[in-house]
Amino acid sequence: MHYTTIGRPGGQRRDLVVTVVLAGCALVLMGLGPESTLTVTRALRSTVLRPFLATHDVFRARAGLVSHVEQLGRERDSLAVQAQASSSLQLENRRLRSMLELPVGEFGTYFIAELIPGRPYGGESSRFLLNTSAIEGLDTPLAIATPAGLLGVVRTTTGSTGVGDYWTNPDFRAAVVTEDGIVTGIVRPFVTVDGEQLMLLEGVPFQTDVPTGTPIVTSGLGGIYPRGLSVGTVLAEFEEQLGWTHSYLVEPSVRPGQESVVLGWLPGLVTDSVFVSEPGP
Amino acid sequence: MNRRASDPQRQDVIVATLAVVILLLIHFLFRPSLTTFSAAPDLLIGGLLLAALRLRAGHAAALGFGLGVLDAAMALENPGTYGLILLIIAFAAARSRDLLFADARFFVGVYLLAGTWLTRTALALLGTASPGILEALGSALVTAVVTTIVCATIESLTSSALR
Repeated sequence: MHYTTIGRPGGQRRDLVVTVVLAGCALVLMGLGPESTLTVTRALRSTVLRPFLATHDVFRARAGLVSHVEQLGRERDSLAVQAQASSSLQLENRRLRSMLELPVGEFGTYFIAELIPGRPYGGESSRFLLNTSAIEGLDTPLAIATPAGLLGVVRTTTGSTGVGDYWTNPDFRAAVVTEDGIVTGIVRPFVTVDGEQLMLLEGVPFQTDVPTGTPIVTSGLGGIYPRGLSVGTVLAEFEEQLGWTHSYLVEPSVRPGQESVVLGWLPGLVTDSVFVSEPGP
Repeated sequence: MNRRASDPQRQDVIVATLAVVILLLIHFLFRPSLTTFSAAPDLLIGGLLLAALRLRAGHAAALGFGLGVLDAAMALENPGTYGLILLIIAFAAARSRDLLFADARFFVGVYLLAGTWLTRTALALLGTASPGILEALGSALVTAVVTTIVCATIESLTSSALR
């Protein structure tokens, strides 16, 4: 092919003006808030990009069909066992509460949502898109989890779409407690010198020691994350000791990956989209 | 484009346009797979750079802005950042054509390689993934080499199919 130039084109000033105007538009887009950015993204995904996204869904569904069937079978069996155990536990809990004359506990409810991971250039995305009618009109933040544990948090919603951060996002924080309830702290994402993405448990009192392998769960403080959601297990004490507290490296229970369906948590009792309900009398 | 262009030049324009359209279609159709592998080609930038060779600077900038915003909507990144980076790259590519270009395939390869390397490094550093500078440079270089090879191949195939 011949790449002959066509000489210096006329109207260079017009080209420059067009470029400057578009650059201004880009700067305006960069300055938009999360809600407005989400609106633009959603508009593009539902119009121009719709055929491409539909094709992606077809490819993804076909690629994972066989493995999904096997995985779903295993998860169904596991859930059946857990459901049996949980119903008797909840019944026992109700009896104990009534014996102690405590009010009926308000368990949160879960909803099921479609998750679309971000796909940036260079590295993994720390952002995702959530699609479900269950989040319409809800206040954010909303905790997002998989059956294995905590995955992230939805920051902004517009209609039935939300944008959230995985726990790998640098702004992510969650109040946690060891499974035995003795040690509390805050976890945040942490990247080791080898580039491995882990969590860092901070705020553990200096005189308290947390052994390796201790499970860490959410404490429920703040009301965003439900109590008892698996976060990870303690790997080792972190070398830096800041002030009067320990910090520990934590192996996360869930790593952002190929999840396409996740659970969102709504604090308090909600009549619609009830996923976990109290057992009958 | 020049209305009085000769037939070979017009055929070149058709080949280039078709090659760019094919590259962009492949990019948007297979984006999830292409972003999974670090050594995958970036056909969006390759197509944009090839288009910038033929377009006026203003049109190239508009194409870059539009493609950047669309790609950001797919990547769940800030559309302004992607739009601005691709706009600048497309404008610079179109303007540098008169300065750097020669009628030789070697220069096209160098142009694609340098353009893709620069753009991918900028996108990686300004995106939310935030890798280190060395990691971004290394990853972008691999992508740039593969992109150059794939773009040149698709352009050659398009050219031979139409001639």
